[in-house]
Amino acid sequence: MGSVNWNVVFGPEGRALFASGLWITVQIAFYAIVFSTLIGSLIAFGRVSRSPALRPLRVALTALVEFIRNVPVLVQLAFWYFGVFGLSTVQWLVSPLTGIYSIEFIAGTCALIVYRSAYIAEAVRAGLQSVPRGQYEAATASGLGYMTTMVRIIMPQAYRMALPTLINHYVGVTKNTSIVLVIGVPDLVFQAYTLTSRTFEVFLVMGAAVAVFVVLCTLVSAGFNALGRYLDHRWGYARRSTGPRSIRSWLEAWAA
Amino acid sequence: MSAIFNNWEYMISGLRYTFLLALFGIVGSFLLGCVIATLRLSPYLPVRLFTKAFIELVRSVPLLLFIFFTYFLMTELGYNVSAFVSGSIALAVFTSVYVAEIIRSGILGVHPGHVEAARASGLSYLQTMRYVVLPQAVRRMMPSLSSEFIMLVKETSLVSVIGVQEFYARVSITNSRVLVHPFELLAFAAVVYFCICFALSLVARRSELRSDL
Repeated sequence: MGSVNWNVVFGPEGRALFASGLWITVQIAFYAIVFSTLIGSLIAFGRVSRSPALRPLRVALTALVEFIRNVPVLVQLAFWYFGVFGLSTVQWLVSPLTGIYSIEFIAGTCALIVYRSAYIAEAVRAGLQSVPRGQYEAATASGLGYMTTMVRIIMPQAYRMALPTLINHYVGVTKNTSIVLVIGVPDLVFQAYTLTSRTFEVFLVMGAAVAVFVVLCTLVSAGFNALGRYLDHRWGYARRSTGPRSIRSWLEAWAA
Repeated sequence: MSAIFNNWEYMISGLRYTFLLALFGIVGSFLLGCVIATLRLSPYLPVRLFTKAFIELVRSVPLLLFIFFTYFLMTELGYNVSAFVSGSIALAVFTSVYVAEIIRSGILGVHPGHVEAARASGLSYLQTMRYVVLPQAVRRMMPSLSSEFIMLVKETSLVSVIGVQEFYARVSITNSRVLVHPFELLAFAAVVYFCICFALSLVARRSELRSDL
């Protein structure tokens, strides 16, 4: 191996490739997180509905979630790209967007959103079901309407309960963005691969890509954890006392 | 439908590789996961720190990047292995850190009083593990382990990126050759994967009920 040629990664070419790839990855991750949370929540609300008239909807949603969760994301990606976005009608529908994003980008993002929505629906559903029945009854008994009960009483508790699982999924979707390279979206891993085949510095380039992902995932989970702590504080839950701690005790806690 | 039946032999024979990859992945990740979980529960802080750092590192890498990395690393280190072997190793190592965390939380979930009682009644450390901790921990681990392994079955499709001719790779090749029937071919792939994974999850659910006896 000999001396390490850092210029491969930190030189102008490496920097440019990594920066453009990272920007694509961040955008896909952002859209995937936002929209899968929205769609997943809608599915979850549908599945916990109680009205007998909505039974067909519940059955359909359950089947859909099971199907999406049991099919590899790569197959779904190909389905969206070659199938759905191969249709001229769909291409016409998204044509206003193709000035900003490539059709590969949109198809890949759709696949990731739908795939992750199924998991998020399960997480939100578990959160909704973990809110005690008494909370609904108490809210209704104090004269709150259905929407108010849901938005002000049930949802805050349900999402707070689901947050740890949701964070796992957000980190998961951030990592999963990399699969869009198979349909040719120039994301971070794609650009790292390009740089590898240009310079043959496998270890360095792939190592740099790994490092970027470690930072990215840490930021995602740290950010949402901070949000959780902020909400705990805001809603007046007891907080753990955070007195001065030694480095050793901090390490002990981290590797407990 | 003709697109499926004309290429049936070719595509279905790829399932051999899918099953083998899944098998190697499951067995390898379980064995490695046990080792990592043991290190993770070590009484020595440096060992715990090192293992935790390794787990966190692998957990924040996309599997696709990990597969590429393993493949290139093997060549770099001078091992001339096939894409299949390299892919199996990547899957096994990648999944093992998740398995290790599941095993660890299963073991930590056993009430400490049980361990104390077992040790106090004269059982050795290994006997305590064998007769008291593991029977309870395994039962606790089964749901997460089975969903992790079903995830692994789905993830075998990613190994197609380094050129392993498993099921998805063959469907994808067929799709680019036939070109005009993407819905049929990909729906076929989806249904096949769904049947495998859903059947596995049903089996897992059944065996969970039994272990409650």
